[in-house]
Amino acid sequence: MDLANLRPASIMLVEDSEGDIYIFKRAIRDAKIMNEVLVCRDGKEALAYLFDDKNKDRLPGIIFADINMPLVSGFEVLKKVKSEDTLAKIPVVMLTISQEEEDIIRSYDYGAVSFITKTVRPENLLDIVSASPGLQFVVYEDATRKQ
Amino acid sequence: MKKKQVTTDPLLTPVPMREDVDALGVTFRRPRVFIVDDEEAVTDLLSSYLEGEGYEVRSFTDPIQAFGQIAKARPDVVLADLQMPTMPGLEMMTRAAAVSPETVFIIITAFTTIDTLMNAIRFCVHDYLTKPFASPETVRLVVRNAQKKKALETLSRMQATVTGTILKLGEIPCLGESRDAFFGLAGRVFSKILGADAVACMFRSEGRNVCRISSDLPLAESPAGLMLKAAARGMPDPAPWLKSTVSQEYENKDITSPMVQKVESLLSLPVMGLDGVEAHYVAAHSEPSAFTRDSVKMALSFARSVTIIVQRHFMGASHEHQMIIDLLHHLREGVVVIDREYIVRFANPQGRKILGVAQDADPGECIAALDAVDPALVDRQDPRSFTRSLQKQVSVTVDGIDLSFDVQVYSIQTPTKVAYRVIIFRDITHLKRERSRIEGLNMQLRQLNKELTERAARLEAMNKELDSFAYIASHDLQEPFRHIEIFVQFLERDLGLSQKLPNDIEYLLQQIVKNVDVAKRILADLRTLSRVTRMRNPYRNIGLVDLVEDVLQRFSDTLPQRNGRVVVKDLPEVVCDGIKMKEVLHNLISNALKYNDSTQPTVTISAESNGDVHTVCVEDNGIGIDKEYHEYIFQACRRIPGKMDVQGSGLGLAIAKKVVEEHGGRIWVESALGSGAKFYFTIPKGLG
Repeated sequence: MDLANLRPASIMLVEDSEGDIYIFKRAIRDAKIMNEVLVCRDGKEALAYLFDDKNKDRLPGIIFADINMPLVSGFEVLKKVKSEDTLAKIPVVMLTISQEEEDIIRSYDYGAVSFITKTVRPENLLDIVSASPGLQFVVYEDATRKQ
Repeated sequence: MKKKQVTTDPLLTPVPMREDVDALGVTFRRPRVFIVDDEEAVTDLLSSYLEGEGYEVRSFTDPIQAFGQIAKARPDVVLADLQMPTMPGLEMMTRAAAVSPETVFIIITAFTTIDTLMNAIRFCVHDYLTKPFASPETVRLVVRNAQKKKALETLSRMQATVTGTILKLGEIPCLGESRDAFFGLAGRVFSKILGADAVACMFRSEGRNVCRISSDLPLAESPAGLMLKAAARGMPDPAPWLKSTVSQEYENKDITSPMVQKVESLLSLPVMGLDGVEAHYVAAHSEPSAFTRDSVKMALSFARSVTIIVQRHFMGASHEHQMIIDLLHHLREGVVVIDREYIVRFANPQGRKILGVAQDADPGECIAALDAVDPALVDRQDPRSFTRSLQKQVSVTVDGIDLSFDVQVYSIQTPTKVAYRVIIFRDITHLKRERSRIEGLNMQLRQLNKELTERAARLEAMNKELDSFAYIASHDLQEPFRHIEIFVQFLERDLGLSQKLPNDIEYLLQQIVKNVDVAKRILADLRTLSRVTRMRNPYRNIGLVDLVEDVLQRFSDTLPQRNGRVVVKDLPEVVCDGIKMKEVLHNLISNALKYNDSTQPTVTISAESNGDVHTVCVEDNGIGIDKEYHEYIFQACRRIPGKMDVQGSGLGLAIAKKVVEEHGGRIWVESALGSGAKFYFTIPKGLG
């Protein structure tokens, strides 16, 4: 592996709420995670990016997807990603305001690595982000490059 | 003392005998005297004494011959010598008395001893004459007294019979089936009174002329019918029908029979009805001047009584008849009666109106009108249909108005087997109109019902929409508030990093956070409320104590902070929606702690069983609730104004009420300001 060619992997956020996009970006920034945040405003846009051949070298290192979105939901994105060999290895974290057990179970069933309930404390979000295996890698990469 | 007034039925009082009985022009029978003595000188003497004194006298010297004549002629008085050669006088009289009980016997004797007289009286001898005779006057006196005495006896006995008969006749209707019995009985009594050979009674019954003959004589001796035929011929003014009746009845009889020639006495006794002769009695006798004056008087009196009875029967009957006619006249139903000959016998005014026949027209016009209405009502082609009942509905235009009638046709039979066909028209136009009106109303009702159902469905849909709107709104509003909270945090962090905040900014930021808190709590309760409305969880048998414990978990932080205490008494098992029931308990416990300023807020939860409900009580030692707010607090978004700076959504009790009512229970509060509150709610037993 040519380390010089390594670029910090991007973080894909699939989120339709402007406020949540800010909160997420701010939380990443406050945690000093410098990876690029790739924002998709809905599931459709996310899938278009992920399945575009042009982007096959620029795939995100981790995907955060909101469950409740119009047209293509977070679950759809998760299912599609997990059913495509080249994408299946990307860890997906589900975001939701709901605390329904069913949503949590479905998320893990479809292959999500983690499930984050949006709360009023952004720190909680960061705790989970930091605990996500994919993101650690990203942070690490980012950290080595900076050093 | 006042004498008791005896009221008697006028019928029982014999009609006063007519004084002008002599005016009838009848020669009455004279008292008949037989003189029996073997000495012709004696009989001649006695005859000379009695003849010319109104007596019919016959003399016999042979007692055997005399006896034969007594049996036949029934003399009123017999004067007989005691000593006669062929038959002793006493023996003759004894035998004669047996065959002629009406006869008075007087003995003639030369030797008057007490023994002789006593002996004679034992043999029913009434008086005696001694030879030689004292004077003609003495003889006449003895005979007259004996005869008068006997006549009086006979008269009073007959009067008793007459009175009894009158009573009996009063009980027998002289109309209908008992008509024969009525006039027959009267005929027999006439015969008895007059001592007639025969009495004919002629009357009409069921439209026929009837002749009944009463006679005490053996038929062979009394060709009564023949006598009567002669009688009818000889009567001064017989009704024409009577004459024809008699001739019809006895047409084939031999009127040249010698017996017929012997009809010498006749008495005509008419019995009057309300309009003319009702019955005609004719008494006949083969001897001339056969009826005595007294018997004719009595017969006339009896005829008067019978007339009164007949008229009374008629008046009673005609009164009843009139009553029925009046009733029929006032009936709203049309009634038409037809007889076997298809002749209309009766049609009441309503019936005529329906049939369009003038009120004064002959009822016969109704039959054509009936055919015009419906030929099936009276089918003259089929005689068997006469007694067939039928019911149908017909439409008739009466006075230019179309009316509907229910027609009932049936036959009736009188006790004398006369059949009538009765047709009854009942106006059902109103009924029909009413029925169609009701049908119209029913249709309207169904339409209204349909509209109501639709409206209810629309309302329900709207309610559902509203509910889901409330849910969505409360759900979606969470997001902006969460964002505001987070943004404030970021803002505080950003501002706080650079400089000490001016008081105003710090205060405003705190206020933002505080208000967002309130908004979020309201949203949370709104969501609960809408969830309570929308969702239904299965009813299960749950221990209330378990629910309370679950709820108390939520207060694990609050209770120590407030130095609070919750006392849980014995609680029953209930069948309920446990998730929702927890909301009730949560809200009540929460309120009990919230609206409480005592140093140790205490909540006591107890329950008792009342009939078919469990009553749960949540009691606190809080600030209490003024009576005027006891109902107000259960309405959504209501809080008692100005009470402590306690934060709440105002929905808690509304939620509790909704859940309790959904379970078929009831919730209420008992409290006074400053003395705590007891919230009660009931859960019916045996739900689920």
